[in-house]
Amino acid sequence: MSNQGTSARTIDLRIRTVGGHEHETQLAEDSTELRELFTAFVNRPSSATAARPGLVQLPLDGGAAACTIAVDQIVSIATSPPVLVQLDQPSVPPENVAAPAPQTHREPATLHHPEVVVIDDFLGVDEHADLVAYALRERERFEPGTVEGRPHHARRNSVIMSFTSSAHSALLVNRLLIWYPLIAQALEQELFPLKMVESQLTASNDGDFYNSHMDTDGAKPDDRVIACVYYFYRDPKGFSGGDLRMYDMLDSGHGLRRANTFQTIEPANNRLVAFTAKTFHELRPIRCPSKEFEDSRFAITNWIHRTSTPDTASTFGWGHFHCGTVAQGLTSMRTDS
Amino acid sequence: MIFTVFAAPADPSLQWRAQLLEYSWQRAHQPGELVRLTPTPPGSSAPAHSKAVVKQTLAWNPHPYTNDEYAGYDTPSAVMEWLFRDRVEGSVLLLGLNSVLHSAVTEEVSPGKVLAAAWPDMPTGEGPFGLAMNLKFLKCYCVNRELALAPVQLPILIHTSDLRKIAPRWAELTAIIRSEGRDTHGALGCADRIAYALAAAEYRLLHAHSDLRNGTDDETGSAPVTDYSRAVESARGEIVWDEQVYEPWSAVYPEKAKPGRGRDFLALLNEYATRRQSGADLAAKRPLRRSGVRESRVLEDMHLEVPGYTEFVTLNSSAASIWELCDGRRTLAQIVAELGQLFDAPRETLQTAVESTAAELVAAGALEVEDLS
Repeated sequence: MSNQGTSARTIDLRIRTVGGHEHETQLAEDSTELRELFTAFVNRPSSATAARPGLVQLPLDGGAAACTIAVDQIVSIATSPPVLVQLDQPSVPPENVAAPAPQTHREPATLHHPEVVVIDDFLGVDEHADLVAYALRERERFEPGTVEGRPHHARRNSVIMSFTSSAHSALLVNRLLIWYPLIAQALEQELFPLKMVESQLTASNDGDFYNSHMDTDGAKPDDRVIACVYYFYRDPKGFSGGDLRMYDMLDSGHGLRRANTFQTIEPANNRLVAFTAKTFHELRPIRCPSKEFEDSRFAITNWIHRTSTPDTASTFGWGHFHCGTVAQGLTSMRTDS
Repeated sequence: MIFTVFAAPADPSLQWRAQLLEYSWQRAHQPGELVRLTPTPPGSSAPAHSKAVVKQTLAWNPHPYTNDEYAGYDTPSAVMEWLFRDRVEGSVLLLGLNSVLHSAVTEEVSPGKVLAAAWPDMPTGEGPFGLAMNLKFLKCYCVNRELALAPVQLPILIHTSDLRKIAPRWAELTAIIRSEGRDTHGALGCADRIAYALAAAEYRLLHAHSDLRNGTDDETGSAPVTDYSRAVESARGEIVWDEQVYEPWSAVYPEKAKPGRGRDFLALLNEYATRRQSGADLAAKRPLRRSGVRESRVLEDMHLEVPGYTEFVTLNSSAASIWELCDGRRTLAQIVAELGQLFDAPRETLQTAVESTAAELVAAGALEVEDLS
């Protein structure tokens, strides 16, 4: 779910297959079929290894008919207007991934589009300004970000790791807890009792990035479940790039793997973006011509942890809220009448 | 588009207020959409309305994190959820539950500006934000302690983009005030109003006092909204009507009230109650089955398969009897009359059953109701 509303363009497609045959159709820019066509095209099996070629089905005549094409027969796809297919592999293989072993053949996979919640104007005017001032004031506390058990070149940015214990973290977490039931609902998560909300403040400057990764492998019961990234920076904006890429997932029945398709979310000022911690995401490189710390893109990442041992006494945020158990009033999600 | 919005839990004792507000909205020819936000405990069904769109929301009373019981949580949390789930844009006339429309609000507002009713009794003092000292704890939870608060209260006319911004902070501050407030002095009872004023100030919303609201004790005034929280009095100061003891749809006597908005309100209440008693309200409504709805029976129950819906609608024998009479020719009043010949039940009981069943079938997509008025 996103509040970024855009009207989708219509894309004219001309698909050339082996033997010089051409098929023409139209698809909406944001249609599942278009996404799946390119995903299948890129992931099509080679003739040497394919046990059975994958098929794609495209609507014709506005859906009144359909054309089924074996993807290994596709030679080219021409589009008008041009469709930017950003299928470049990251320079470093994604980490924290239950990466499948090299496959001798690929089975048909289902494409999953991760839900993403985008909340603009997350904090008040003064709260936002105070966080910017805090980040600039605490410049000396930022340390190079690390990735446990992963190559150092998977990530480059600066972090205040102990941010969780700060008053500014409490401010953000308290507001986040008000949103928590709705975010969980939008991410199709059952409400769960909280163990903790972990916070990390990062600063990203010229050339900084974080390759595609998941924030958890989901192995531990009290692990991160939902990631919520709050973006803020000084006005006027002193950087470009730094978009958040949320990758689609491919489920071939043997676990999830990252697809090459994604949605892009701009790190707009005072915006919170929430997604499940098991979603592959990536911080795209940032360009900051001044290289000044003050022009950095700042982000506070909050990870909401589940607990397997509910505790009514534990408090969160400013200390008023008991979220160690799930209250009855929130346990049943409603639908509109 | 103007959304007239109020929050009312699915509590049967509150239904008459919601129905009266709905009637007044229709009678005032208020443009736009009427939205009832309904914080709903698990397992409850949606309340029945013929005009209002009912949006069920999570129940925040009692507060899920503090267990505090306070009706003031309903509006900010329900508004927040509604605006998060429905990406509507326009002006919102946000009402308290004890409100009726006296006349239509046709003016829309642009983002950043809010029309609001004055709150002359805001607890002012030497504390932060010019509030009473017993609210000094707010300094710990607000970054800017110098903000000037607008002494305003519902009803407000506000743009959805502004309401969307402030609703979470409004909900959060309400809980903080209720959690921290030890010395009452009225602060706990009006925590939601203080929280609204503070949240709006933090998001830099400018309020213009507007004649949006009259109370039932106002002898003059042309505000579009009447708030009936206060008892209606006679010219001699005797209480002639009080919402806290009113038995829904019992007779009221406007002529006993002193002239003014209280008398006008009782006249409205009397008019609607009379319409209900006479069945005139239902005589103007003609239900019609939607095309494509398929019926099947299993023992006593009837199941409806509605095109576009994945779940069957299950009707018990009473609801099935009502459904079978919804043939596009009979009005709801005629259906009540026919059922009266079949069942030995008070007319009011049958009327309520027909009304709520019809509303539920409308909500389920099986029925539409033509308004003959």
